[in-house]
Amino acid sequence: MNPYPALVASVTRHRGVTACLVVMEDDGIVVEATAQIGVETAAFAALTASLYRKSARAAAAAGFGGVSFCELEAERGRVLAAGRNGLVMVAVAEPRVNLGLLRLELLRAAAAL
Amino acid sequence: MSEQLAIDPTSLVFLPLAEALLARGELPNAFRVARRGADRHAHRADVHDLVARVTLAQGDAAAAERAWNDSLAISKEFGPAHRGLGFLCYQQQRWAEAEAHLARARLMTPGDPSLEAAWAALQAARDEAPRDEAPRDEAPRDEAPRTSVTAPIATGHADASLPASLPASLPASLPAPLPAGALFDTALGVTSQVALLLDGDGLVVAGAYATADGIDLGAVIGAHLSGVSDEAERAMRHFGLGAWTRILLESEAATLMMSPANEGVTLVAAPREVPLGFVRRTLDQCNALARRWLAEAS
Repeated sequence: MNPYPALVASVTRHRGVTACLVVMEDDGIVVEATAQIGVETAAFAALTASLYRKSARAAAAAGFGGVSFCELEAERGRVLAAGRNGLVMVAVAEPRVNLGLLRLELLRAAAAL
Repeated sequence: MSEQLAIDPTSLVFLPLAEALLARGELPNAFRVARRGADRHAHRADVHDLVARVTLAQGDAAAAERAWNDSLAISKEFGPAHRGLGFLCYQQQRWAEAEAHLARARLMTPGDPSLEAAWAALQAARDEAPRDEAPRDEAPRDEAPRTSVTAPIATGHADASLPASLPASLPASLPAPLPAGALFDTALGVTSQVALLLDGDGLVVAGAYATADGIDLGAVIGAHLSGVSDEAERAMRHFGLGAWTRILLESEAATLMMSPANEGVTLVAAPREVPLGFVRRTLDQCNALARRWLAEAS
């Protein structure tokens, strides 16, 4: 049974989440995705995977060890990512989202990847 | 709470209301609520403590000191006032006064890890300072206690409870000239967090990141992590979410947060035990200091 739809659903049920994707960390290919109309999942997948990869490499090179979670906050939204086993769980959210709750949900979902 | 206060202006609901406003960074509103409360409840030491913390957050250390002294005038053994004055005097390198207040605070709340850590930092700072303590205005800034060390992050010995109890101090004006390496000392206080200001090329402009044995890691960390902000900018161009305002990375050894500062980046690193909200608050303070410092330098 494919476990990813349930993981994605657990994240998208939060108010303010506009998209949730499971992405391959290495190449940004989408494994599973749910998004509101207008959200380009392929672009988010590729760029977020790239950002996550870059962050992980930079943190490791700087001596901080592996990265388990990253968040990019912008003027009109947030992109959150949590990774495990070569997969990255990505959430795109509006600024008003409950960040603490979404972070926990994403980490919980990522633990099942 | 605002409505409740409007219905009954004598209510003590202004205390949590001002605390909430302070926590949200709405300092003018927090000050207004706290000040009115202090006018109505001038006999309460905790109200003056609240005023002190708000005014300190506004950068008015002198007003904060007056308010804490008002608390002590009401109750000589009011611990939060001794704690606040202890930290304030410590930051201003008034070692003797800091020692006196922290000693009282420790007596009132024995075993408080934040006070114990502050006490240890104070003793270390006093050991480093000249035997004849210089007046604070003459104290060389270079001899300020260096709290930006890697060891707590690398070894996980950081005191998680320490930052949460520190006053949110951010002086409105900086004493000049301020060495670049000490730019963030006032925002970092005695916490185990470190901060760097990096330019667009990842070079360290201000702040310090040294290991316990004195090795400067700032350049290495700056070079590696500045690339993350480049990647964020690239992503933001495609996402249509506007300019990026903050990046958070949670790694095995540390929490890292970055925020754009002019053409560079302000970076704060903290042990994983430090609450994320506190790291974010420190980053905001450091970024404000960096922007002001860059504006003064240009």
